[in-house]
Amino acid sequence: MNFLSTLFPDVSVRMDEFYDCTVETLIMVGIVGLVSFVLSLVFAVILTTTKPGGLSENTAVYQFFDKLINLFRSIPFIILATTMIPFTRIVMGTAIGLKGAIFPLIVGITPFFSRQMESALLGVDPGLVEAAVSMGLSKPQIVWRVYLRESIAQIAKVTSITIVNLLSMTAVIGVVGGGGLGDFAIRYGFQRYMIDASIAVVLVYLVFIYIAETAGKLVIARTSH
Amino acid sequence: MTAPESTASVGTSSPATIIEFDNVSKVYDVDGEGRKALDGVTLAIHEGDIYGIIGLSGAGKSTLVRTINGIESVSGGSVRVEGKEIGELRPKELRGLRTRIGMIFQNFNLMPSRTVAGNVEFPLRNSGLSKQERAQRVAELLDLVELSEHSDKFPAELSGGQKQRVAIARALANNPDILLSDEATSALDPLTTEAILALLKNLQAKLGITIVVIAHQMQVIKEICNRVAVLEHGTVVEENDVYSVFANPQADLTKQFIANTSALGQGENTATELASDETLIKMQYVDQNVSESLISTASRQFDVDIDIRFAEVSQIGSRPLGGIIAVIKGSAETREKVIGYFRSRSVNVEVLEASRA
Repeated sequence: MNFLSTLFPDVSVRMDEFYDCTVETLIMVGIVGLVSFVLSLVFAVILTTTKPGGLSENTAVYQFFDKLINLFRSIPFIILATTMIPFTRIVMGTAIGLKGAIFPLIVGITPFFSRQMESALLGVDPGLVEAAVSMGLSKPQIVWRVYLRESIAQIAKVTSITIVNLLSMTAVIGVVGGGGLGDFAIRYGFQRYMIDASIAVVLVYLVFIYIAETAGKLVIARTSH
Repeated sequence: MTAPESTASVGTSSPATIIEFDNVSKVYDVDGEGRKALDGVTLAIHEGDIYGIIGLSGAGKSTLVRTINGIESVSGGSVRVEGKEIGELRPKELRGLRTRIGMIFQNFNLMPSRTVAGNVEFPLRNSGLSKQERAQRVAELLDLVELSEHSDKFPAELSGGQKQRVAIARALANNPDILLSDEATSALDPLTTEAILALLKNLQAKLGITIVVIAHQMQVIKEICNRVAVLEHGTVVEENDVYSVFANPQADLTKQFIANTSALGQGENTATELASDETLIKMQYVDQNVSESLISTASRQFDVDIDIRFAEVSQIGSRPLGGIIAVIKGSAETREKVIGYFRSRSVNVEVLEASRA
């Protein structure tokens, strides 16, 4: 402990706060990741099946979701997060802290995640889909047993990429009072020149990213044959 | 052969029609312009046929075959399978029909995330069989294609031929009446191709199913089919039993296909320069009792030299089809007589090159 308090003097006197911020970031990533995973998967399935030549071709639906995702993807996250403050208040009851951070993070990451998921599903060989159609499977069965099942490895890959992106977004949300490690780094590292606070935050992020990528690689290795 | 359905074939001894194309056309929209993939195709495929559909790429073979299980809709005309009009089936009925039509593909289309057994079981999951019954059926099927020992492997661990065997087992899972084969051997080496074709032929004999084979090589047709349709630009240019097509091809495209298949076809091009009193002919004899002895007879009778440049006998089904390329040397009149003599003995003679003298 002595060693750590020499290296990180400003963090070691605020250990409880640092710990709380780390947990907050983890909760943010966990909740946002989970909600966005489900939403993105739904959007990706809609895009993949309604696109021209898809299983349930529907140009109107495809164009709507395609343009919607592009619209939200083109807004820089810091602008999205601040513009959304009034909506966040309506939906979550507050625009600050952990609770206030979750809604804008979901809106911010889902368009990116959806595109990633879409590319994962597009990686499924159309021949497999044709084979399943020729066997008399229904459309929901084809989505479940072919599109999703055959792209598990790709989904794991894009999920770990997305979590890394989401981690950096959780830091940005700290700037607008969203709590978490980003908030900690801004308040101490930036505003009070405690360089060790910034370094400590970076190190924790590094560990998180390492975990996200390793978990992704493990799933890929276990599901690729 | 199964008992004929109450429709078409009452009072006849020939097997019932199982697939019927009636004036089928298909127009694709390509950049706002209609492109005809199929144009007035009328064909009948009978129960127990191994029916070949051959054509160059883009001729519409794949489209035609996919109208049988409704993967492709038609723009005009009708497709009837087992008496049912495909275009009029409701989605659920169509899916039901598809379980009784197996399909195999050039690229096998096995599910990479599932084992061999998992792939074969895949179409059985809608069949209402219990888990145990499914496992038993999978074992039977893998035994049928001689892959039992590979049941726990993943497709990526198999050779091309083994993959196609798995695909065949999968296609047969629900005891289909019809098997569609879309260039199933085109990605395989010649030896494996032979083995897969032999397996298909075997399965047809054992199970009595009807097989529709798409190919772009006449070799495949010759090997296993009993009837063949030649497709060019979406229309049928020739349709007959395979032996007749080989013995006496009508359409130019068919002739090309056959020439590319047989060494006889290659032989035509290797002919040396002819002297002024020589004629290069190609003879094809259909009947078994006709053979090369005919040449020596002609040679003696008309006192001409007949020099055999190339000869081959190929087996189509169980019947042999012989071919000879030869040069006749003699006066123009005699050469005519010799050719007339051969023709009178029901040998099909084609003059490839004649000197003007």
